[in-house]
Amino acid sequence: MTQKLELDAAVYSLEAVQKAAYRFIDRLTVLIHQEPGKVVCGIDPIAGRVIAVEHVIDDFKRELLDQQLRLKIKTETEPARNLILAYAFSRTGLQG
Amino acid sequence: MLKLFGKAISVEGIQAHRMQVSLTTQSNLPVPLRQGKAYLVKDGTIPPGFDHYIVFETRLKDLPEGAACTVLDAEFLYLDDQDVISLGQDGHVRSLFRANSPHNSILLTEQCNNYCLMCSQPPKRVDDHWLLNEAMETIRRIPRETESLGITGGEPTLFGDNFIALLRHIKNWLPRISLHVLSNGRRFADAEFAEKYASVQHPDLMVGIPVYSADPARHDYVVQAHGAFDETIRGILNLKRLGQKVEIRVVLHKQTVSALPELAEFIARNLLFVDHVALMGLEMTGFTRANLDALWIDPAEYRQELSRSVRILRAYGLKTSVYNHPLCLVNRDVEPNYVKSISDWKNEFAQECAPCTRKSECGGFFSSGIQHGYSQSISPFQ
Amino acid sequence: MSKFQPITCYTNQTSQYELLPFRFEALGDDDVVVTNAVGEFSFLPRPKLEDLVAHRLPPSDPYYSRLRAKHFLRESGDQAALELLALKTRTKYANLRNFTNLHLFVVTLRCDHSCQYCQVSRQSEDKAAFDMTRETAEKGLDIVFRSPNQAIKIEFQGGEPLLNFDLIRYIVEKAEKRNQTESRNLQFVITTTLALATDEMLEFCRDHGIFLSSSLDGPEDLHNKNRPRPGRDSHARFVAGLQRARDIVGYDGVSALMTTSPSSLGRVKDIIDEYVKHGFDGIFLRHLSPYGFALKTKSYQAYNVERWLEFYKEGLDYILELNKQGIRFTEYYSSLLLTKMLTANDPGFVDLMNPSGAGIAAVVFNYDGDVYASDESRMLHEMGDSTFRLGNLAKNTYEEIFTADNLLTALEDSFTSSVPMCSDCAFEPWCGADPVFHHAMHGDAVGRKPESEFCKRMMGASKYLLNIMRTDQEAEEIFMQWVNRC
Ligand code: SF4
Ligand code: SF4
Repeated sequence: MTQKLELDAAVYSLEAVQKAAYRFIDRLTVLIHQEPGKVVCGIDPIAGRVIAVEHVIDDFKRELLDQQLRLKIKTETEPARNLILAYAFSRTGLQG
Repeated sequence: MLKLFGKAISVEGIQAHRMQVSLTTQSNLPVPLRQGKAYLVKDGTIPPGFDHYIVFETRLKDLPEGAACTVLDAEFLYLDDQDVISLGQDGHVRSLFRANSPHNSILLTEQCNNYCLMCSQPPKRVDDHWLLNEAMETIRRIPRETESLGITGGEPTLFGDNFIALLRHIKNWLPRISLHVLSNGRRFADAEFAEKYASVQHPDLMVGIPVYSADPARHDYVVQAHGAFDETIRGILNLKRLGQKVEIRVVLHKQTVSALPELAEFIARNLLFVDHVALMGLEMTGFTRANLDALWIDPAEYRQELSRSVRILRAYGLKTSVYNHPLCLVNRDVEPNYVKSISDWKNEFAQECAPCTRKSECGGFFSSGIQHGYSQSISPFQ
Repeated sequence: MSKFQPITCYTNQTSQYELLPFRFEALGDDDVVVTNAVGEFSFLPRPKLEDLVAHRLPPSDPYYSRLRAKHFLRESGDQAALELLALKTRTKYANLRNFTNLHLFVVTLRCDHSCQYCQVSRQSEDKAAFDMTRETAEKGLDIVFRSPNQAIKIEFQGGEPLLNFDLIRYIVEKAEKRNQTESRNLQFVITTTLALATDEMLEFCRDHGIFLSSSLDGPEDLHNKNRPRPGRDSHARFVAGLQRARDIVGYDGVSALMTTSPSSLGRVKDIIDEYVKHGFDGIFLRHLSPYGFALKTKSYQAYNVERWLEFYKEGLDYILELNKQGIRFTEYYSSLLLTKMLTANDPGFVDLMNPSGAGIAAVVFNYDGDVYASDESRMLHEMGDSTFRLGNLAKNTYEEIFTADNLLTALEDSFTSSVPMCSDCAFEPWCGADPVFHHAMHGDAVGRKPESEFCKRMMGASKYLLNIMRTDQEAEEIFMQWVNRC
């Protein structure tokens, strides 16, 4: 039976939801669509793979938060990442 | 402990405010070499032809006509052939170089841009260029076959180009000497300065730079200077980029020991290319005594951290030495890295050490420690 | 009044900091591990992670100091942190670039063994059909010496390469001759069971500095079960061969590799003991590769990654126990991962202990002149999939062969930077490009990581290693010794 999970789009970006869904590809089928102000997931456990459905869905919810956190870190650290790479390949000499 | 400076009983014939003299005990020195040297009168013979005679306790009557004479007290009897001392008109005597010691170093300045909690040579804000000039002169007097020499401060690099000039001077006069500079490394964060330093191309030069913590805030606190950690690390990177030899020196005390393993990991991961890591016991002198509560910890209490740190550094193949520790206060697994290190002139043992069977392997104590407090956990080997 | 300031004067006054690039992964419900691109890691309780990312971790928090020291966050003046990260990044890439270029010559497919999991060998007397010719070998050497690398490794594989020892002799002598003018750092390896090694062959190896990589699957019964040959004497021949090889070529001139068959699974301690007994100082607890006959005979599917992980963990625990008793013994799979976790170095894919290294740094010349990008692609070809055949020595030029290689490079790029899940996986800095090829092997260019055995193995092993380091300082120090050995 398909479970519906409605997420506040102000909190969860579509990208984070997609990434979380991808990580659960071996356990859950997650269909994602957007509604005004919402990201909606239709969740089905994969037959034979999932025993404790509630448990997996709890994990999925946690994964949603993690993905949102990952996106935040990624966005914030992008300039530093580029700076480090520029540094790394612009100078020569010392190699530890 | 040797008395390295003090007052003469009397001085005479010193024209300048202060002057350096090279000492000799060779009564048969060829006459042309006698000029500019002071003869050290230890056995009563008084060969003629020297400008200056150094005698002990009482002035001798039958000195050559017109020769100058300085009378020192018996504590200076350790002075010997080829040593260099400085004599002031006001009677100040300083031993600048002792030919038979492996631990000679030249104090280049008392100024510093750090203000370390445990500084053994508390910084002064005075223009002491004269020390630099004196060093230039001392270098000319040091025997050419001398094996090693240290340059300390204060912070020697504060003299900038003049410091570089001194290094060149040493390379010219003492090309075979192994030279060790103590610096806080901050000046080398300036790549241009680091390049000048490297351009001296001294064949055997190492700079010892303290790093006290992997946490910048803690390092800055220990050296009492904002942003010091960052400059020091960048200094080390610049020096290694230029192929210079760098030693990392860590003084162990209450503020540095608990996170010592983290520092060891930091060095292993980030500074694996340094040439040597020295983990050093605290010397009870200078500021240390003012900050005793913040600094003192019995080495017996940090032996586990010390062991783990040494094991980490060793695992990564870093050349590591443990200095200034009583042998009975380090775990046995540290012994391969244990070095008897305290400079001869300030090295002593405690009363408790008398029955110890491994005294000859032990580095003992700083004289200052014997005087002002040392570990209560010493346990002589049976 | 003291002229000295307290430590609070030197901690961040504004509480403002900037995050440096990192990733995280949950370890159980309460904790996470954070990692950065140069492999550094740190453990955090989950609420601390949330505080960190929300910029509300106070400078007085011990986690703050630790994260700053390990370059997960920086204050505005921290220039050294960026320099050190850049330096380590460059070191990592430089080591990859300078990695020894491995050239595999499959001198024959014939073999005296008929191992159930073997991918390619043939039981045949037909030299003409399954041996490499001198002409092909010469063309292979042309390519070897066009390698830009200063360090070149030539490895002889089979079948049982000793069955075509004449060609080995020929190639070694030719290569040495060419090297008189090339002056490369040239190394040779023969992968052999040692069953057919004669004194004469071993003397040749000694005189030409050829390293021997042999096979030992465990105690006699297990080894012989895995490696059938006429006479059922594979183990006895190995033991005798090892002794003679050590006598003639030298103790360090011969190593052994283990293959984990389904029958090995319950016997990891026996296997390790066997290695210790024969004086080896390490073992590679390898999983069975999913190619060739291994797949056909279903022995690959005979155990899944969970079962392998159990085997691996049991083995690793036992090896750590041995180390704690003072026996220096390394587990090489762990060591490969740990090197990336604990140092700025990258061990690369090609390793003495892993001569068939699943990597792009290798070129394989098959007996028939076909060129592959790795040993795995050759095996894939044996199974009928020629996707990764780069060309043939008789028909293609160097340029043609290595333009094909570009295709693989492009493939690699697409993987490391943009594969879903890997791109934000905290273990990716330790995982590296290896999965790239592996997944290409599965014929799925993108590779769905949650379903991938490779990924599960990698994650399972990494988490296990992390847990050990977190809870057992002595084991962590042993790991530090492993990664710095060599
Ligand atoms: S008791 Fe022995 S080991 Fe301890 S400090 Fe004295 S001499 Fe050194
Ligand atoms: S294969 Fe798995 S473990 Fe490796 S980087 Fe990708 S997601 Fe992470």
